[in-house]
Amino acid sequence: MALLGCRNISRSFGAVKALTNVSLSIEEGEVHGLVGENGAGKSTLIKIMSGTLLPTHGQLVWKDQDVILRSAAKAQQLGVETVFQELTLIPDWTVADNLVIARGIPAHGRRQSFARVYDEAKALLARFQLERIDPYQRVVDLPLPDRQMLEIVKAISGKPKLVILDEATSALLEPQVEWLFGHIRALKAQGVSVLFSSHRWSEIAGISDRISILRNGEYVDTVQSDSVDEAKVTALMTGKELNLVFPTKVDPVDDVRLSVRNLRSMRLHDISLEIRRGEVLGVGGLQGQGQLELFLSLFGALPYSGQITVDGRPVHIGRPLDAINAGIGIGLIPEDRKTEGLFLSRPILENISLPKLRRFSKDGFLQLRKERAEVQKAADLLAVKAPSVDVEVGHLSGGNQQKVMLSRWVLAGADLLLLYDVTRGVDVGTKQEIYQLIAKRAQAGAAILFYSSDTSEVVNMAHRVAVMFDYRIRSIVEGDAITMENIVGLSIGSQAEVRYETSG
Amino acid sequence: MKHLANRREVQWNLPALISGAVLVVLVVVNASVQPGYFSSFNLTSVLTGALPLILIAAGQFFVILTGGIDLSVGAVATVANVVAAVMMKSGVASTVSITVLVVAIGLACGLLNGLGVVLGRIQPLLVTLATMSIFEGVALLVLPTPGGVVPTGFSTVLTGTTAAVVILIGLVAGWVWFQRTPLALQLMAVGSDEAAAQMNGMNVPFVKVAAYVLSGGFASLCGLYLAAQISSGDPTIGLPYTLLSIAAVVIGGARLAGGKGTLWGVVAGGFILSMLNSLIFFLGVSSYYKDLVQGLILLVAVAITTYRGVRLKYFTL
Repeated sequence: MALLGCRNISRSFGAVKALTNVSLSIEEGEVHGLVGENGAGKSTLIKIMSGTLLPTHGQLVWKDQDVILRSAAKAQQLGVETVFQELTLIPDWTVADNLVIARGIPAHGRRQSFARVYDEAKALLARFQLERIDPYQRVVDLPLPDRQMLEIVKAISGKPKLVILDEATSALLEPQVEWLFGHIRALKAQGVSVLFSSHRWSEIAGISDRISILRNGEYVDTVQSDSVDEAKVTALMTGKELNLVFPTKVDPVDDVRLSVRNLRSMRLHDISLEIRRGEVLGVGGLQGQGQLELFLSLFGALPYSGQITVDGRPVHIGRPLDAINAGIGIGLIPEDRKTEGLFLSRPILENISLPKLRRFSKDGFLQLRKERAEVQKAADLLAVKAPSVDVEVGHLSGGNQQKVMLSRWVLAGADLLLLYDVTRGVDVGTKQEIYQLIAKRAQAGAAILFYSSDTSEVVNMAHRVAVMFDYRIRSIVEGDAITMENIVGLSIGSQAEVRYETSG
Repeated sequence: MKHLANRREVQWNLPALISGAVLVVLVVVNASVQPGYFSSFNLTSVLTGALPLILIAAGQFFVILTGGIDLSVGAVATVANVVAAVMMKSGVASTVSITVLVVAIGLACGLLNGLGVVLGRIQPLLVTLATMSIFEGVALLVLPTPGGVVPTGFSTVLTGTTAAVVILIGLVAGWVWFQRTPLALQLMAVGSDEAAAQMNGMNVPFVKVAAYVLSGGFASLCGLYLAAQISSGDPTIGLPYTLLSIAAVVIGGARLAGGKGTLWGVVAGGFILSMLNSLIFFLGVSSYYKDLVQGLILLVAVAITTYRGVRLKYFTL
């Protein structure tokens, strides 16, 4: 029997249609995958199913009865627990308060005793193999993966009939994803249904019984997960028979643009690497092996020791201003473009020209026409899709926002680009464009350091790949040795001794 | 008790503990420059001198806990003060009924603020800036110039040692009880992350309105206490208390952005500011330096409460 069904659900935000006529149903005791590109309407659908958003048209059906979910609390009463993308733990509360009483507050209005809440939280954490988390710790002091795991614990502990996991794995490391999958299987064994959305195909394929696909706010199909592969689902998601096409690698020039010798920081150990003009140096490894620290150190955002040479000249990069400066010319695309890169409420124009305002200044005033003309040129070069450069960056899609970031560095003359997970949260079509743009920058003589959480991107984009493990570079792989198997093998701790032949 | 004395509790209340330490230092310094500091007469005057600020700051504290700010507290205290001075007559019946009326007016003022913030969806700063002006205007209509009188009994009882001690103990004991009530936890949740509070099924608008109502109530208590102290009414009396109340809350270690703080800290903050004044007075420093010193103390307090060591964002990943 269908547990929760959507019948012809539509939702508009003003003139924008986020969902059009979506019908699908989740069976009892099944793990249901939900996939779609960014903007396909996954989050909107999940918000409607979890009671935080009302549909404009259409009907939710709970066990063959029409229901209206006016609030998250109402959905929880039915047994729908949701782990949202936005974390819903109260930052300044303790772990114990968040786990035990957050949901209980509207129900019973009595005082909470420290001791009871502590003991309950402790028991709950033990049930989920998280004894290492202190119930009295404040949530804000926990690392992001722990918070995400607590969010999951909180949802499952509500004795749900349906658990909705909206990109719940995006902050988790591999063993933690396994932990989650273990609990999903346990839920399934108890007859609980799970709706699971993720950007990672391996996760969707690994856990789902059936997969529903959304495209542009419309329902495409629901398929048995063992009857499809990634290419098939990607085709359904994009509406095109589209395999990821990577640009052909062009041999780099010989000039060494950046050379790093024995770089150390609080956690990095003896990082040495070189990037030549026209070269894409990939950075591989599991998440959190020091890639972020390496990028931030090179951009002057983290203190380091060791020698950095740019064009044969030793330099010290003490702050981002030094990195951006002419002569060094480093540009960073950060992990989170929204908070670390862009000014979302300001127009494209300012976002691109900001690091180099001096170039457009004369006698202390900005030469607006010149600024606009040059910004326009940079934006065109990188194919930023917007009606004009006066559009607020916050209104652009993720892919276009990344193009704005790239335009900024092109305009600033930065030809040493540090690209940290540049395609994160970017849809498949735009990803391809970004690959081409990166290759083009390299051919124009830029040196590029390229990290991606998607190893296939690193394999296909890089001339050489530095695989990081435990804040060191374990190995630098070149030429034909750059394969998924080699990179993944080197990324995993157990194969530390394996040496790979390198060609060239 | 084991749980109350938890290590982490101590850790998060560090700013409040610091202000406690500052308070102790101030007592010592005051005692060394003022002969007979620990006489019961002087202790009573220290206590009663700090009480109006502590009361008004307690109200401000609830609003700041939710991430808001209430600029109208001084004006509400003024309204309470002048209404009491004009209407209160001798006799228990009048005293009690007018006290109740004044507190009700304070709560109503708070309700107005709360509704403005919640229903009008206006920033707390703007709502309370406007109502501050309105309440000040009302106070001037009630009593254009200083005057009026409150019954002697009212004054004597409230400014006596017993009443002062009872009020202070009441505040602290009330907080011990209140701390683990749903409302207290919700106030902190809303200030900590409003969206998350909403996602947890909390009634965020109700919680916010409750904070402003509490604030109005405490401001009116401050106005009443001031009436007892000066035995009359003054349509400008509450003016300096608005900023002082915010200062006391911040010095007491509460986070101005909301979500964190304790009432003990606020009580300590109130004492610190008021004892500082008496210290300046006894050191023979011109009282013109009072504001200057208070401002410096506030800066230091904010620096302490916001300082978290050299911790870069990325090292917490």
